[in-house]
Amino acid sequence: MMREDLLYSIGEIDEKFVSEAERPYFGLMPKIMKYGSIAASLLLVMTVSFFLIFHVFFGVMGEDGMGGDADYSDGADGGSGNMSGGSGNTTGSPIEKVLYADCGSLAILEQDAGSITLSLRLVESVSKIDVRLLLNRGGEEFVLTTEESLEGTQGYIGKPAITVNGSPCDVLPTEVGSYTVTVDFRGEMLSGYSLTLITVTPFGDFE
Amino acid sequence: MEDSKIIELYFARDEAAITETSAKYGYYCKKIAMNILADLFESEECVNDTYVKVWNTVPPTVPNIFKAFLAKITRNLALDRYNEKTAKKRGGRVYESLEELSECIGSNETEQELDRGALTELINGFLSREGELSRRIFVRRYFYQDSVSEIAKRLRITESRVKTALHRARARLAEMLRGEGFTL
Repeated sequence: MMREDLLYSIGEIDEKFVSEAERPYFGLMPKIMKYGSIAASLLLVMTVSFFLIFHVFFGVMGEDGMGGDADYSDGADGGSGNMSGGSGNTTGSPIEKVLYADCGSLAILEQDAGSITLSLRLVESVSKIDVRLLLNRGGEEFVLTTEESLEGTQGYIGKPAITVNGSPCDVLPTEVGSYTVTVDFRGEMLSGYSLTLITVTPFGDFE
Repeated sequence: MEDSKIIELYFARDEAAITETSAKYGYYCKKIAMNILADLFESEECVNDTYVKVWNTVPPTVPNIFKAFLAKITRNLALDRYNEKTAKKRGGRVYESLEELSECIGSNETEQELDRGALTELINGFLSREGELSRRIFVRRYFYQDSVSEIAKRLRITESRVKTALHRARARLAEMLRGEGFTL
């Protein structure tokens, strides 16, 4: 028997193994990330709790009255106290993180369980924008490839509705320009799932 | 375009099937061919051969996972080209893989006539028993011909861990093949 036979035989292995090896692997999260994320979550809970308790005990809400809430209303309410502050985003939501690449910049404007709105600025055209999503159902997680993200995958999600600058579109823009892109899975996604944007190549990771 | 739609085009004998395949999986196939051939021109030719083979195979074959189906065809065509072009030359990732796989199966050309189908079934059984990480490393290395550093980067682990996992997997494969009566 020749080692070449083995190499050729490996070329005929079950397609599920070939497909599996191509998908991103998140099974080995470094301990520092694992415990770091737990610590960050605890810190966040403690901070929020502290401010809630502070408001209740010192009656700040009572002094300010309901008017204080207006500062946190979104743009849809037509309030003048919007927090986004000249970022150029069209939804009025605060930008959490902006990623930069040679070809431009990208920011998440809005994200909920069923849709993601991005602000995309391209200063040079790109061949393709690669989008990867993390699908979560009760703690069980699946990573969707670009094809699955934008074309749907049987069993999890269907093809999302893509809107570019308010107009329906089949693909993400790749030419120079500024775009507000919404990828909306509502109506196509099975109940109980939530989505997180992980990576948009060539801009990098959102994690 | 969805894979099922592309396959429908092949069944309808519509040449747009090749255009769509190239647009969606051209880069993926080229990467596989490049890993084996390390030559852009050769790789492009190999990918073109892949499209022809898919055209001639589908129908009647209905690919289960179209992307993996393309990967297998590309890999085998690239290996054929590699063997033709570098029969006596030594070097490259395939040579490295062959050297490593010698641990499992030997390199004596006078040894037994082999049913590759049976061997594939054994490897499938071996892979299904491996842990997910070990299986991914094995397939990346010996199917996709990725380098150790590429695997480490992809899986976010150290290169030494990849090497160790490969070494242990080869040892388990060798033991299994020995148990099935394959001479080493």
